[in-house]
Amino acid sequence: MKTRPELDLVDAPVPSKKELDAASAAIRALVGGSIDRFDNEALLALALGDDVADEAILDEERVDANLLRHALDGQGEHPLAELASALRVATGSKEVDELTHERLVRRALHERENRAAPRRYWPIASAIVALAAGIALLIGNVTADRSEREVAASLPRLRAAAATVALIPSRSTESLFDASTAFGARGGESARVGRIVASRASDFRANRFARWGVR
Amino acid sequence: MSCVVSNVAWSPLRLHAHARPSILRPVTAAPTPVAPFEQRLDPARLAELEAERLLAERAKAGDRRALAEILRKFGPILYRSVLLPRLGSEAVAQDALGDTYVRVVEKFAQFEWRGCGVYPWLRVVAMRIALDSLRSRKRETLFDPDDLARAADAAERDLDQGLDLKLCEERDREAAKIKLDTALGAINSRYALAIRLRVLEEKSREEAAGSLGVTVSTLDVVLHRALKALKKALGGDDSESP
Amino acid sequence: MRVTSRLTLICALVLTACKAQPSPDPALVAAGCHEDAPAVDETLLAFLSKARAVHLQVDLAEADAKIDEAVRLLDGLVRPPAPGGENASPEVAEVLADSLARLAELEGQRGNFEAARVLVRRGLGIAKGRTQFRGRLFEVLGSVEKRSFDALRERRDDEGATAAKLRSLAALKEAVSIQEDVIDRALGTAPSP
Repeated sequence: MKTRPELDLVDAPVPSKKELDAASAAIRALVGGSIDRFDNEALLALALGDDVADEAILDEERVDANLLRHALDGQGEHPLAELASALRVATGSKEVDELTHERLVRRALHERENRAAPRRYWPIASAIVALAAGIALLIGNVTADRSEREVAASLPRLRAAAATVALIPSRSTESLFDASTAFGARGGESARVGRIVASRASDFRANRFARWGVR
Repeated sequence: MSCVVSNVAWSPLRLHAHARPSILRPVTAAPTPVAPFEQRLDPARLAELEAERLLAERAKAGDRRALAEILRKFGPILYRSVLLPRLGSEAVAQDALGDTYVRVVEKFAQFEWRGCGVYPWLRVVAMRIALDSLRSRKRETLFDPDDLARAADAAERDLDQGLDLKLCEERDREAAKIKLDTALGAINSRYALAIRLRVLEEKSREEAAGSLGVTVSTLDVVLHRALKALKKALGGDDSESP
Repeated sequence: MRVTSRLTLICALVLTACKAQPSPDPALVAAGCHEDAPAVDETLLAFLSKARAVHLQVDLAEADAKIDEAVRLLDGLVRPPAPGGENASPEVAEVLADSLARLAELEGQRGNFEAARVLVRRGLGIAKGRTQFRGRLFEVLGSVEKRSFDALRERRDDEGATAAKLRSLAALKEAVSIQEDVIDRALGTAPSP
């Protein structure tokens, strides 16, 4: 640690105001007078070779340190709290939240799909949907009462179905393979099982999200 | 091109014809004698790489599920090792991860299997996205844009040299540690201790104050000064601090 | 006019679809999915991942011509119990059938023809539908019987060799027949298996 200025009195230059202030604080401490925390900080700063031991700066600093403390506790913002947080995450091993990650993956993949969709079909598709909706509404009004009664009667069944239909069931893997190419008597097993795993891993994740109620 | 896997290296040339002559070495140079490749690579890792190669081929051919699987497998590592340490904020790192995915989806058709998996390629993409993010908005982070530009260049070299996932991850983790240790070493040891206790080890104010032998309110001031000093050591302008 | 009639037709289709009674997802039915099939879960995925790892290990063993090692690895995979036991999910059944076919092929290479036949029979008991997996088992059986034919002929057992040749031809014919069914189904000209 750097030596305190008072230990170098012989060769020391004329003390500055802050050094004198610090020395006064030290004297107060030595003679039994109370030393408040800012005086203590002034001594510390001097010992550490800081150049901000002035009382006026300390007041400002005290306020700012307090703001920093609250920001570190998540209340308010402070540039140094941002730095502290950056240090923490840079050396930690925080993982991305699974749901957030899944959302990012899907967004990226769907974004490409949306970009690839030919826009010229939109007007036609919209017209079809609008027309169909209009006719459906017309017919729907006539049969509404009957439909509502039917729906009410089948509600328990629908609820039970909703609980299970959302999950992707296990099923034959044949659709994953090209029908026109026979498996052959030798080889290809690893690729086949790899393909099955990839497909079902995706289904499994979808089921998990469905169970969590996010789908 | 050789694949560097932990402390061993192997040449994928026998398996894949993606070799490029080195510009640093004449092509007539005698080849370095190498042991049979199964002796140089952990069989489990080799099996994993083969499965990964098949997956990448499907993704390149436009199989969205395969591409999604790649993102799900490597995305969390990119987040943890590349983006979060360099961007210093969970929200910003998540945005960057999303941008990385969009870029990967756009560019995956250009991906070429280089024997060491998909991760080093993804890492370069993520590094470039992180650099763009850091340049677009000044943030208080451990790394500045210049650091990141150098890291992105290094990631490209790693890709060229065929660095394995584990080594890439270790290298990224090490980079953050070295950067932090260097900066903490440049400030007063008492300040460095305050940062270690309160920020890195997340000790309570009381505990940290006790370790430093000061009151909690003094600790707040010491920590404030410590972070200012660290910011200066990292090359940041401390005038922003109110 | 043509546009109007097309729109009318599409609307009619949309309305018909809206009005239709609830029915199982045809895509799932076509994919061999039953209404009471269990959901894709951790157990299924764990088995599939294990199977993938084993097959990759077998690839390596085969690349090194370590057939005994390959057989040992596959034997560990196909040995019961499999998830679901008797009521194994279609995925488990199909991966098991494919693994049994591979194991049978390896046993055939080693000259253990009877062991290979037992394995194929076991696979056929699992892959009952006329799928590629069943077709492959017959192809492997044809290959095993062909090897058996070669071995018997070398030993000058003409009677045995002729029987093996007939078995080989029958198995390969069945494999071709199943493959044709698979293609017909894919083209929508045959019922589901």
